[in-house]
Amino acid sequence: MKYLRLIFRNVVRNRRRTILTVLSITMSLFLISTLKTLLDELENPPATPESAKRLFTRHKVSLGVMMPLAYREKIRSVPGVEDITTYQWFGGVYKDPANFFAQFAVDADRLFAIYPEYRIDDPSHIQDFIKERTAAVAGVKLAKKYGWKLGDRITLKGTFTRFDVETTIRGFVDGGGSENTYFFHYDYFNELANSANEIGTLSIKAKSAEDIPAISDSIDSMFANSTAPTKTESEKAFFLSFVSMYGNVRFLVMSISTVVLFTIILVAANTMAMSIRERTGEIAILKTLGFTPGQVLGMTIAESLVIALAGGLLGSVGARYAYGSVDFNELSQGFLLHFVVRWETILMAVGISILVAFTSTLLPAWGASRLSIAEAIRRRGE
Amino acid sequence: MAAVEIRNVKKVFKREATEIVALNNTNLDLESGGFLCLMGPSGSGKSTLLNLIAGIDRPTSGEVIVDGKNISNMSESQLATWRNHTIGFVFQSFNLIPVLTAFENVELPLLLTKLSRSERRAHVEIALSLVGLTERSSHYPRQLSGGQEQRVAIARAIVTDPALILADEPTGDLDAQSADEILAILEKLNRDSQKTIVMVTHDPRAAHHAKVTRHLDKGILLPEGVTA
Amino acid sequence: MIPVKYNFRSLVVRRVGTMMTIGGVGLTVGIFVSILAMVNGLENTYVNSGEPLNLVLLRKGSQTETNSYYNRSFKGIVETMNGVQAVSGEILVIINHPRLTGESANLIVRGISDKTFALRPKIKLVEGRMLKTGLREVMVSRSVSNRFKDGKIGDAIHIGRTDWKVVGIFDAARTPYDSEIWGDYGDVAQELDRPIYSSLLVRCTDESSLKDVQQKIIDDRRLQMDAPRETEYFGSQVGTAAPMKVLGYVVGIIMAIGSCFAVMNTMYAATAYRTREIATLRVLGFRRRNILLSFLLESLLLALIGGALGCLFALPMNGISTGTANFITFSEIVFQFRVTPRLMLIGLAFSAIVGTLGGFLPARLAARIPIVRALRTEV
Repeated sequence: MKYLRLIFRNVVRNRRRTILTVLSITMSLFLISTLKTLLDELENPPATPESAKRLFTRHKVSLGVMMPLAYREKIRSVPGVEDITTYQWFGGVYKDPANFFAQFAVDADRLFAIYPEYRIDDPSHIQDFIKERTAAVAGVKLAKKYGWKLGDRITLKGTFTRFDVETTIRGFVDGGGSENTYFFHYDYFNELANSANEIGTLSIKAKSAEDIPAISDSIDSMFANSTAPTKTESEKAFFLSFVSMYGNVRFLVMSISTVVLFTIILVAANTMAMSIRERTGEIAILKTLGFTPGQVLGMTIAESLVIALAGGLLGSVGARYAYGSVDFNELSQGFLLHFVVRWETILMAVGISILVAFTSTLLPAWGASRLSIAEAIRRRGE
Repeated sequence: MAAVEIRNVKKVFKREATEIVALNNTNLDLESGGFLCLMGPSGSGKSTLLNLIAGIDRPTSGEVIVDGKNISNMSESQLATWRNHTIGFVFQSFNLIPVLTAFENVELPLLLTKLSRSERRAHVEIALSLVGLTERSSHYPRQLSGGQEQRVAIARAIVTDPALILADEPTGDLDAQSADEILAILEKLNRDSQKTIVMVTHDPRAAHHAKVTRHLDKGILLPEGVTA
Repeated sequence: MIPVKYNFRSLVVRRVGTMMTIGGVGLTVGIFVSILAMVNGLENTYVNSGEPLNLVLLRKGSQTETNSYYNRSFKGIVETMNGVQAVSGEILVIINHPRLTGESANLIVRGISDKTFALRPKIKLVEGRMLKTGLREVMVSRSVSNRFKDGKIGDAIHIGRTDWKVVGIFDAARTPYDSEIWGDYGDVAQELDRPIYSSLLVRCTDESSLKDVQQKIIDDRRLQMDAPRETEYFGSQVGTAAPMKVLGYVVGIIMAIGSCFAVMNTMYAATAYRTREIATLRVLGFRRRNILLSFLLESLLLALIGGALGCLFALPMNGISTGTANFITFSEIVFQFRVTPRLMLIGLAFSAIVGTLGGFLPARLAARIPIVRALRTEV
């Protein structure tokens, strides 16, 4: 600890170089933190007690193939199931195809029981939504974006349906991703579809999270030999299957991060090599004063550690605060619920910094500490 | 015609709060074809005077007229071109570019002229032969001895055929034998090629090669024949 | 002008720092070009696909074949129009099938007609044989065969309720068809219990009749159809590459800024080590502008070597096959990384920007060095 002052003086000696190195490492760790967060948010979105209790049932062949509506009541009677609602994707177009947002046809009277994290602006609006067949509730962020008010009539042009839906906004919702979603009645949807009584996705609430595997087994075996076999999985697994559709995101993120890590090591090693080279003579003087090669090496690593840690913390913590002010939910059109750099990511950045400090110092420092005193003093003039 | 005229030149350096007068009210006339040696202890102002004549430093007040041109009020880029055409500078520590060969070092100032490649080659070869280093032209500075390096530096200084050669302690980093060789070359340039030379040194033996020796002390140029 | 060999040799002299900086820029450019190669490959799948005289008939409002369906009688209406040479009626369904790596992806199963191959002359059967009607046989694309389970000849793929035997492998010349499984129209429609067409592919006799047919179809109130050209139809799905493009530019820009700082560091060190050389050059008559340009050039040289190296890093990526989701059709799209000369030029330009931005401040500093003081610096 008594060497701290010397280490610190060395760090600030060539202030411009230190700052540039720190900034370069900052950018790299900002990027690594961003990529790690992207992976976290895609693969492992923060689970709430509510979401951990939910499952989705869809047709086994794919999401695009419909199941009979009668499945809803059959599933409701499966042991462990507390509640169920239709959750029908409706990829409608609002005015312009560029206005893309998620729209679902749901059981209006069940939605808020199964999704307690959806908060309505006024409790009485839940009843308004339930009792009117063409009523809808809109996410607050959508409402803000398109300037919607209560009572506005919104038409969504169907893309995979022959019909358009004409709805009236009766409330606004917020929380759990609902802020960018539009909900209307499945009954109304079904009526427009000439009462085809078909459903693409059912959302189920289990009595307890432990029951989920049993529930999913009993549902899928119940319909296994029917004309429409099902696939039932937890909400988390359901969303993960969307992520896996993107391809091997994890591999992509890992490859990029590895390359970035190498660039950091190169940048830091270059700085340490310059700094050690400039100080070859001084190191010799320290050694004449009785410092051991180990002590000299330790001080050099400590110096690199200060620089790498400064960059690592600035990059990762900076990312946490920089992204705090960006609405990723809207930016990604609802694909990412939010984008928060987690503390474990910052811890990882610290770990990377330590790794970088050691690897970037060892080679040049090893050379310097092995240098004989006379040789080093001679080199000083170069 | 006078090669160098110094009129009431004063040079003050500012260091933090204090002012250091490096040259005070200096006047000097040097005829074309002259060989002037400037001597004096460290900090006497001899190098400052040389730098002012070379146009790499500006006087605080007064005028520096070289080869009939007042360089005191030239712009930076005018000065650069002027230096290229008018003066050749020889440094104490040679200052060859380590990554260029002897030939390329000598060729450097010619790159600023309109000469063709073959004309440049001819000039460089003449300059190198004048300093007796034709065989070493493809060597890098680190492959040359100190005396050879300084001869390359002289070749570089004369390759543009300047009227004036300025040398700042040209023998300071050399052993006695090499120093003699260098001084002989300078003397020959003065005698055979009528180059005007101003040389700063504190080696009395070097001073013997000059036609005139002037001493400086604490920023004052002493009259001829007076030493501090 | 100060000769370039001066800069080049100076870079060689400080070889450790030079190599590390080149390596840093190289990795940055390499990763940037690689991601762009991915984007390029994906976009290319859509941009250059389809026959110019083909129209894809979709139900009005549905943007893709996978969302589209209509009555089978419509085929007859279109077939009898003037200027129509041939019509292929097809049905599409998406199945969820495991990749070789385990996780599942959505694949398009297309029920094809006897005209399917004739209207898509670029698609060739490369292995096995054509499927036979009524036997629940399929052909898979080469890419699907390489990336998915049960994709070899003789394997069975589960579609709907039954297993379908793989009898052939086709190559669709890097079009979106390269991500599909083809079965017989009748078999697929029967399996799904859907006697409909998802899409009619219409070949017109020539360009002017194509415009007539297009207009007639759009105007026909019975049909209620959109009729984009096949090329336009695929072209409109090029947005699939957008998220990847965003990723590429985010990674590229952040890394470029980091590399600029690294180049700056190296170039500041270069000016510091060469202070006296700079002063000497000035004494010889070189102007500030010459010095500025020379150091800028050196930085550019450094970055360009890095950029060239980065392009070399990225080159082996060319042709690597990968897949992502087309969120318009909701199915897997297989594509190959494409490293083109244009991309390499972009990579070099990118490194040139890094070199210029990173070199500018140090070069300006070098140009501003006061001669007299610099001559006295000990190095």
